[in-house]
Amino acid sequence: MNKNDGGNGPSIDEQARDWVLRLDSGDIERSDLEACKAWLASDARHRAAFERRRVLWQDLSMRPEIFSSPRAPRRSGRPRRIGRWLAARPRRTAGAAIAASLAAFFMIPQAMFWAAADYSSSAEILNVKLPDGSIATLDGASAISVDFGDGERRISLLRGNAFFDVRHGDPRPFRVAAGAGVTEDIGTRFEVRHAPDRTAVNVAQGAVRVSATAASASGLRLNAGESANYEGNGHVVKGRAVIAADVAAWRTGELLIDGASMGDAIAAVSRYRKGPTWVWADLSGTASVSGAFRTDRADDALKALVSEAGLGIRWLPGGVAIITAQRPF
Amino acid sequence: MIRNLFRATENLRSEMLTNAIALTHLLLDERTCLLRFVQRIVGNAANAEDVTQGLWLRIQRVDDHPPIENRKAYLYRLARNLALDHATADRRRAEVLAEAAELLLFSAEAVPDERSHIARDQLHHIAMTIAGLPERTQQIFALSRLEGLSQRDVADRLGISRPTVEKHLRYAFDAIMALRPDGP
Repeated sequence: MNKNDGGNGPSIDEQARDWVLRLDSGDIERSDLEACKAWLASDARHRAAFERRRVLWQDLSMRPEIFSSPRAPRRSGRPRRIGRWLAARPRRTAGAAIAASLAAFFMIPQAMFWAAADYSSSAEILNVKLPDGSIATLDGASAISVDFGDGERRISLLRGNAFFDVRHGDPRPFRVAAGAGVTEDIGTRFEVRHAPDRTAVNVAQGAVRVSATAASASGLRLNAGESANYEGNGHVVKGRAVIAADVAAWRTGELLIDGASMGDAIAAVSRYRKGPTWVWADLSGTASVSGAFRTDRADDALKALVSEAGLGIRWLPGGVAIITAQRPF
Repeated sequence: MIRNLFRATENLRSEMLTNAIALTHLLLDERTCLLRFVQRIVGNAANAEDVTQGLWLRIQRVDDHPPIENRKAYLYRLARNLALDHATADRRRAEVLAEAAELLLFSAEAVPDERSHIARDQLHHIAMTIAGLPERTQQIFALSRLEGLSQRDVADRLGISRPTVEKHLRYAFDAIMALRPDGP
């Protein structure tokens, strides 16, 4: 199409691209701006080519998920890109800047929710009967995709927590991929908890084998009452013993928080709230918390946590909760 | 001052005005985008936060009369004015930057775009394309699009020249544009 204007100079498309980048440079003079406006006004094709690139360029900044590629083979076993960039962000001292990155902490998990999800839950727990008769129970704000083939029964935990009650008698192995690793069932009921930086596995009954990379065949065997976790670095670390009956207590409407950081505790409770939860406060100095809450009374749980941490909370219409330092701003 | 802020917060719960409620919701939805817009004008993140929080307080006092025709345009216009008030040191330069940011943000009808034009099935292809770019290009592209830094800020952060940053962005932009069904 508008490849060339007839001459030997840059095409309309190339000029449009360069104008978009120039406007976005943070380094533009009044004369450049006037030249851009004149270029746009001089030809309808200029405006059309510019519009397409401008809209795409803006869109790319609203789509954090394009910076991770969970299904790309070359990425397996490596930390997710988005986690790395956020972690690499230098700590800014201004409280406001910290608040901005905390807010991103709540927003990005939503945005990372891939179109690939077959089942997803919102504020409530969802039971999913899988094609082989196994049951997957999804915690609030969780999502899985299901891929059952000839060689294996494969679930990808895209977000949140899920408990699996695996039906036996099917010769295909039952595997749950989350983060960089895979958990393979050896006759069991188990829970996988997937946070952006870490995945944890808790076994309620039977046994599983946990591998921190998709490729490695071996892995760590876990029996009932045991737990393990892995990050993106290829190592499975055995965790402390768990009470089998407490594994995935959220299935019965209970939320147990045991020595979690305030940020993790707020995130855990927010999973059950109907509206969004925002943190505009620096949580780094707050003590860790423990407690038992009801998932159907998440707002009360949030209030309790916030008052314990000496923070403030404001409620807005539409279920929005904003956690602030006690003194607003 | 603090007492007034508390009172403003209380109003949010009970007797908030329709316009103010709608604008507050919009502010939450648009926060990232607004923050980046303001940051382009005032030059750094801390000042941008100040302006955005001032914006928050300002919209709590918006009356219901007259009704606001286009709340989004209103919100961005208000943000721009507050940002320009903040940029007292070099007001003329801030005006140029504000106009450039608006040209990028607004369609020809002078209304900010709705988000998410990219079709969901394209996201995966875009992610794969980005993952296939050279490491340095990926890093620069992420600083620009994910963190919202201007080319000048990216250049400062990495200790390279702005034209070099632009060259990497051009390369990434062309690669993604080539994926679109309507061609490069």
